[in-house]
Amino acid sequence: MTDSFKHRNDDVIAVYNKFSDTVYRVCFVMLKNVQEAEDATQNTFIKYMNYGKEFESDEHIKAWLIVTAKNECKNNLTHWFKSRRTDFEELPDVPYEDEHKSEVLEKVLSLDKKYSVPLYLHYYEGYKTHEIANMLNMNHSTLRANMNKARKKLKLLLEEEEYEN
Amino acid sequence: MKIDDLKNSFDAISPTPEQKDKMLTEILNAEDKVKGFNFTRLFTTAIGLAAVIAISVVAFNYGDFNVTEYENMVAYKTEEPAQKKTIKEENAIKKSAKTEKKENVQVAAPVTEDKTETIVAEAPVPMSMARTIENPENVEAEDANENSGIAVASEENEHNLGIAVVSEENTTDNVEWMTVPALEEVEDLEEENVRTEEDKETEEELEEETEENEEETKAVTE
Repeated sequence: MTDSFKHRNDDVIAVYNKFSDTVYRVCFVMLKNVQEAEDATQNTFIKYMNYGKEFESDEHIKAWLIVTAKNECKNNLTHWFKSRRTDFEELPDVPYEDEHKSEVLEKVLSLDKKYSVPLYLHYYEGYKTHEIANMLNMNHSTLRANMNKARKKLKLLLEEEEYEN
Repeated sequence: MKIDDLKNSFDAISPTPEQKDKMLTEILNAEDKVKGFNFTRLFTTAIGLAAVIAISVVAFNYGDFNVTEYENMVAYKTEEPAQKKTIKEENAIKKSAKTEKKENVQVAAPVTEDKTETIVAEAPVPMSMARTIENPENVEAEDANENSGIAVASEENEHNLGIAVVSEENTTDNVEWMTVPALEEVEDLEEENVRTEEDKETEEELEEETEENEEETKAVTE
């Protein structure tokens, strides 16, 4: 019994060392808060520990962790605003804490989460649009439309900043 | 804006090594907490169940004793001993009177049944016909004399049953048919009367034999 738990702990530690940054980033992009992002990542890995089924590969584990982190953040946001429960797309954005000082990042995080998360997954993690659509449980065409809008908005924001400077 | 700038911006979002260690320790502690919670939950539920069972058993056993004790205490406080005795005696007398009444009623009840039975038995009217008469009021025993032994059916029954009067002596000859009689019933009557006569004869013989035996025994003893 203890050996199985040790093995399980080792497995969890290995997975944590591999994918903790990714999970943390997803949580931070969605929640825009360091403490809440930490809590969400912890809950995600606790769920991974309690998950009974085996995974086919590391990519499978990564995808599962991203989806679980997204759902955890969604639950966190709905829990945060207990007074009214709305759909994920309609959830209001939490103001960004200026801890990670980067102008581009600030602009990215100022976007709605339905734009920022696909941007992160596509441009940083390298997922294709149909994979992201499957992960986020969205229609492929709507996801592509959202990404186009996100690019245009980001461009506008950065141009405005350059113009102001 | 280049894509590299965007990637670098996302690179900035990464937990520090301290944050990572902190999160990992909390994750591993959370697993222990989950295990401990399960164990404590089982332990507490087991203890709770045992306590509930014990309390229920004690209450069940101790509850009756408390009730009687409480009743006695209340009676002792509210009533004086002399009055208590008188009340108890009165209650006992009332109960005994009630039981006596009930017994009398129970004894008296079979008498009525016997009367109806005797009426039927005394009358030489065929049993099958007599049983059809449900109301004993319709049956008028002409006299209480055992010798006559005549039972008269009411007028309604005369018409319905076709039997008017039946005497004990020579029942077959004395039957007077007021209306058209049923032949099968008459034959049954005759058979039953013959059987009763035979039974009487055997009884008389037995009585005579017993008397003779008694006389012989007396003579032997003398």
